[in-house]
Order: sequence, then structure tokens, then C-alpha cells
Amino acid sequence: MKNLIRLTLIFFFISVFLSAETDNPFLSLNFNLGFSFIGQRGNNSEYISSVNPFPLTPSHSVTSVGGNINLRLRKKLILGLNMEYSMNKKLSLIDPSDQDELVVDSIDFYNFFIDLKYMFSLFNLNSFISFGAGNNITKGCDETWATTKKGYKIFLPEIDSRTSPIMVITAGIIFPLSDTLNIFTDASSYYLINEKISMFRISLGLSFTIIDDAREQK
Amino acid sequence: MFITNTTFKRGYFVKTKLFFSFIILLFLFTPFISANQRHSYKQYFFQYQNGEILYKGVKYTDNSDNFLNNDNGKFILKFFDCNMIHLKTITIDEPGVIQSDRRSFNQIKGSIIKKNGYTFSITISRKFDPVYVKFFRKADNCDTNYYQQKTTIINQQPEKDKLLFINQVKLNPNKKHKKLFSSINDAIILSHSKFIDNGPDKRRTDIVFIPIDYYDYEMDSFHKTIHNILYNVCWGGWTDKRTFFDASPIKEFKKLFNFHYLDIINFPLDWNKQINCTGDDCKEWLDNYVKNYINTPPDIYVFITKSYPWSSLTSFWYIILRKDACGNTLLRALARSILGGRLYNEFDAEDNYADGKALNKISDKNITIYTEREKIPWKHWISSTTPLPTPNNVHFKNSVGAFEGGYDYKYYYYRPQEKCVLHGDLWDFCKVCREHFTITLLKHWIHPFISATTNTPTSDTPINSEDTPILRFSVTIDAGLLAMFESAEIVWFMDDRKMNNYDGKSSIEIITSDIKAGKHIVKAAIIGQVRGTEGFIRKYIDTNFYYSFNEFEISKGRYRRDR
Ligand SMILES: [Zn+2]
Repeated sequence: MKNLIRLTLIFFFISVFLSAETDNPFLSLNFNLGFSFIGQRGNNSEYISSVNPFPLTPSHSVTSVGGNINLRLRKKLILGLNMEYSMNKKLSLIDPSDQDELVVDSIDFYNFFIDLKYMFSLFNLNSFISFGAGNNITKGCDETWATTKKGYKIFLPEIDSRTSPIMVITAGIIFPLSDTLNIFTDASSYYLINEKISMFRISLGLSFTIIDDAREQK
Repeated sequence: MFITNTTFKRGYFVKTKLFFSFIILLFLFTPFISANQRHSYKQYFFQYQNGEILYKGVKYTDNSDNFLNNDNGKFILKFFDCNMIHLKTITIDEPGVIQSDRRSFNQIKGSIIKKNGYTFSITISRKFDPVYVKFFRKADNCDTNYYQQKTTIINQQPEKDKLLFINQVKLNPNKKHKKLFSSINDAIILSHSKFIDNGPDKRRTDIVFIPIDYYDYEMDSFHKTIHNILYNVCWGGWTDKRTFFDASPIKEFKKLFNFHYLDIINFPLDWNKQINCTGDDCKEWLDNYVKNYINTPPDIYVFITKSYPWSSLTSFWYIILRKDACGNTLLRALARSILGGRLYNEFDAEDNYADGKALNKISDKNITIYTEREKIPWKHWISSTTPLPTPNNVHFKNSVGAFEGGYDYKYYYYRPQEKCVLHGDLWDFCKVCREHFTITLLKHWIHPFISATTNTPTSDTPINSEDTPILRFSVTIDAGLLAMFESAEIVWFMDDRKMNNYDGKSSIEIITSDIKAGKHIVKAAIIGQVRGTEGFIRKYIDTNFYYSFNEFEISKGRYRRDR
């Protein structure tokens, strides 16, 4: 959380500093809906009877909502402050020893990051790629007991809320609908540095332009 | 010599004649004497309302007529309120005019005394000893409407005549024979005796005798009744000297039982109706009622009545016995109660024909409607050469078969053997009933373990094999019960399957990771034979005398949730 505040402050000061020099101030507010794809975790070879009965968490996707604020720094350079929230999902796990099934909720998580978008035209479409850095925050939860399909109890230990740094690469396309409204789609790849896990996200969103001096000058 | 001799003979003759005349006269008068003696009436204290005090009476039954000369007693009455605060002592100096009412035998009534502003009518009814009189004062600040206080009324002279009841002046003499039932609120437990003590009540089968409608001066008679039931020979006593404790399987399991009696006065027969209970709620009420005297809830209650239309009545957990019942009536009643596994009656009433067919399709324990060998519940006792149904003749006198008559019917129901306690025989159960009784005692009434310990959690939290790698169970055996056994060995079961490595051990350890995930029950049991019961059981009984531990659950392990 400290990192997040620090990042926000950095973002704020950099943007104030840089935007002062821009000729065409630009600010937009974006909302998006997407899917985060999470790769598999663990391996069936790690199975230990009555200790680790569900060693493999399969790859899965969770629904996520996001929002960001974009601020133009240079003509083709946009700084973004991004937030995404991924809602938990029922995961179906299989005990490799007896094919017993456990359905369990995955854990909610947030992504906060700042990125720098480079705008360019690709086949006459407004496109961008961006590089970002920030934090992935998982929500904590209490310990509990779950019951498998065959009626066995399994212990779900408590999870502390934790933060891990991420790196994000995004590519997207923007379709203008009106002067102030754009629709966009993008795809992001996340890498969790500490855990050496990558995630992938695609999203579709709406962008509302709040300030656009360049447009007014036309 | 000759004359003297004759005189002697004549005198002898005259004396003999006199003697016989006296006997005949006595015989002729007997109906009157016994009628007098049997006569009893219920009498109450009656409410006496004089300002604030309300007196209420105690029922008693009067059998004596020895009262007439003892009307000059000096009486002290003590009254208490519901908080046990002494209210008033009244000394009655002058009994005043005493009248005897011949028709109602033992009643003297109508002595009016003025003392301390109160007017009483004293009815001296008879002597008995000692006297407990309950006085009630309507309570203003007390929770209960009436408080019962046991008080002695002291009759200072003559010493042996202690008596008495107070009646209201306006008592209508014509109503004194009206049947009044005693109230459960009037009952008082005087004392308790555990007269056969084979060990702690918790691990023994407790049988409690309770007197119904007895008054305190009748307690000796109540005790004598218990003694007669347990230790007297029965009507066949001139040939069969056996008594209650000589009957199998009571004989072999004698050490299992504790016997108690409670001296209770005025305990009504319809107590359960009065408290408006049914089934096990009644037992719970009664257990609670006797709790101050018998801590552990008793297993079987035996009510002794002075008069009851039948010699006995058996329900699941209680038995009503008339005071003239013999020990084998108790034995039969116990066999039919939960103690004996609720065996069926095997009587075959001559005039009970069941209207052409068996009304209840019973085929269980000791009664069946079937004569096909395979359908008979006790087929393991029937030899292949015994015809079915079995003719009731000398050839099959001691055989187990299917004899027609039982379950109170002459036909259509079959019993296992010609003779059985449940068929009215004196002390011997048939082999089938004896087997069922024995198995029931072994499986349900013997609790051979004093204590058991385990490190499994008692809540329903499943065990994690990482945190609880080893489960420990141990038991302590009751040596008193073990003494009954010819041979006995502790064996252990998990989920009703015997664990082979732990035979004979009183404590065991199980490695959690060896157990499949899920719910399990570990049980300790004793497998053995009670001394003297060789050949009693032919039916296969897998195990007996369980000590169950709490059910515990092994979890599959843990799973750490994540994104
Ligand atoms: Zn029988």
C-alpha cells in the first residue's frame, strides 16, 4: 500500500511537471470490462496424501473491471494511472488420487500501475502500446473448511493480504465514436516479479475525453 | 387307674370340642373381621380458612381400630409458612367432646377447641407412628402456591397413640367416603436406601422400588414386600426352592445390578397424568424427582402398589407390581421391559382366539406367526428333526420348536418352547428368551469401561494430519464388572471393522496419515463370556460391550487459495 501511495504521488508530480510543457493538454477518463487469464499453478506430481491433495490449480480466467486516467505528456506520449479489480471465481480442483472434486473460490485481487502509452497509427487506426509498472494486491481471507464432492473436509488456511510488484505491457486500438467518446480494446500481459507468474488480460472499454485543447484549436 | 384314665380322656375330649367350636366360631366371624380390617377410607385435611391460614390435608388409609381409648391426648401442632418460618404452635389441652362414628369405623370427630383466636375441629382417626403432617399456608411471596412442611404432631399421652388429622367443622359426614386422589404435590421422599450395592450407579443397572399410595407407618410393609419379591420362594416353593436371583440370566449377571428403594409417602399411581407427561418425558421428570437421593438416573423403576387390578404391568422403563407379587412376576416384567430387550408375552389365554387369524404379523424375538423353518426368528435353536409346528407332547418337552399359543392367544402365534417364564413358568426362561435377555444385557447394559481418553478434538473440526500426526485412545476397565467374566479381552474397532494389531491393549496409537480422509469412529470393546452363560448364546453377535469414542474426522489436507 505504501508503494501505491508513493507511485500515485510520483505520477502526480511527474504529470504536473510534464504537462506544464505540453502545448495541447489532454485528459481522458476510461472504464473497461475484461477477462484476466491466470496460468496454472502447481503440478500433480506434488500430490501428498492428506497433506496436499489438490496440488494443481488449473489455468482460469476471472472477470475484471478497470478504470484509468490518461494525461498527455507529449504529442504521442500519454501517462496513465490504472486500476483493475478482478472478481473471484469458482475453481474446480481435482484430487489426482481419487478424482474427488473440490470447488473453491479464487481470491480477489487488484492491479494498480502507472504506464506510459505511445500513440501511433496502425492501418489508419489509432493504436497504442504501453509499458507500466505497479503492484498486484491480493485480498486476504479467513481460514475455513470446505467439503469435497465425496464429502471429505479440507482445510483452507487464512491468506494475508499481500502486494507484489508487476510489470505490464499493453497494446490497444481506439475507435472514435464522437469528439468526446471513444471505444477501445486492448490486451495486456502482466508479470508478477516476485512470484514469477504471468497473467494476461483483454478488455473492452469506453473513453471519455474531458480536456482536449488540440481538438478545440482545429 | 382306669377311672382316672377315663376322666382324663373325657376332659381331653371336652377341651377338644371347645377348641373346635372356637375355631368354627372364629371361622364364621372371619368374614366380618377381615371385612373390618380390609375396610379403609381416604381422609383428608381440609382447608380451613380463618383469616390467612389455609390448611390442607394428607390422605391416608386406615386399617386399625385401636383408637377408642386414646382420646385424651395432648397435642401440639406446629405450623410453618413457605419460607420455613415458624408461624404458630397450638397446644390442644382439652380434646372436648369426642364422638365415635361406628359406621365409618375408625373415626372420631367433633372436638372443638378455641385457642389463640382460631377455631379448629379435630378429628382423631387412629394412631400410627410416627406422624408426619403437612401444613400449608397460602403463600404471598413464595413461588409455589403451597409449601409442604413435614411436622410431627406430638401426642404426649399415651405414648403409643400418636395420631391425627384436622377436619373442618363443616365437613359433611356423608362425603367422607368420596374417593379423593392424593396429589403428587403431597408426596414426600423420606429416605433412600441402596440395599444392594455392586458398585457406582453410573456403571451399573439401577433398579428402584417406589411405593405407591403408602403412608409412613406402612414403610415397613413396603420393605417387607421388596424382601419377599427378591428373596422368597414362589408358589411352587415346596418343590422349587429357587428365588429371584437364582434365575438365569439374572443369576449370572447379578453383579450388574444395584437395587434401591425410596421411602415415599403419598406417591400417587396416576403421577404421570398429574404432571401431564408421556413416554421418556415422564422418566426425565421422575429422574429429576429422585435426583437428590439417586444422582444417576435409574434404569428401571418398580412401583409397588397395595391394590392394582393386575399383578403387574410393564412398560419400557417401569414396572408396576402389586405387593403380593412374587419374584417371578418381577422377573417376567423385567424380561418384557427394556432390561430384557422387550420380549413378548408367551401366555396362551384359553378363550382368546384371535378371530381366525393372527392379528399382528409378528415374527420377532420369541413370538412368530410362521411355522416355516426359514421364517422362524429362532431357527438356529431348532434341530432339523423337530417337526414344525411342534406337537406339545412328552417327546418335545425340552425341545426348541414352534409351539402354538403365545402373545396372549391360544392359536396362530408360536412360541419357542413349551415352558418359559414368559409362558407362566416359575424361574426358567426358554432358551430363546434366555438368549435374547443375555444378549440384551451384554449389548446394552454392561458398560465395562470406567473412562476413555483420546487426543481427538471433541468439536467437529476435522483433524489435519500435519497438526495431529498421531491419534491416541485409551480405556480403563471396571474391575467389578470384569469379575463377572470367564474370559475377556479388549479389542479395538474402527468404523466397525476390527483392528487386528491392538488386541488386549488398553491404549493404542494410530498414525493419522494411515487413515483415509473422512469420518471415523474408534471403539473399544470387550469380547468375552460371562461366567455361567456357556451355551446361552447361539446367535452370532459380532461384538459387545462397546465403548464409543467421539466421532472424529480426518481431513484431506489443506489447499491454499490464490488468485
Ligand atoms: Zn420364552
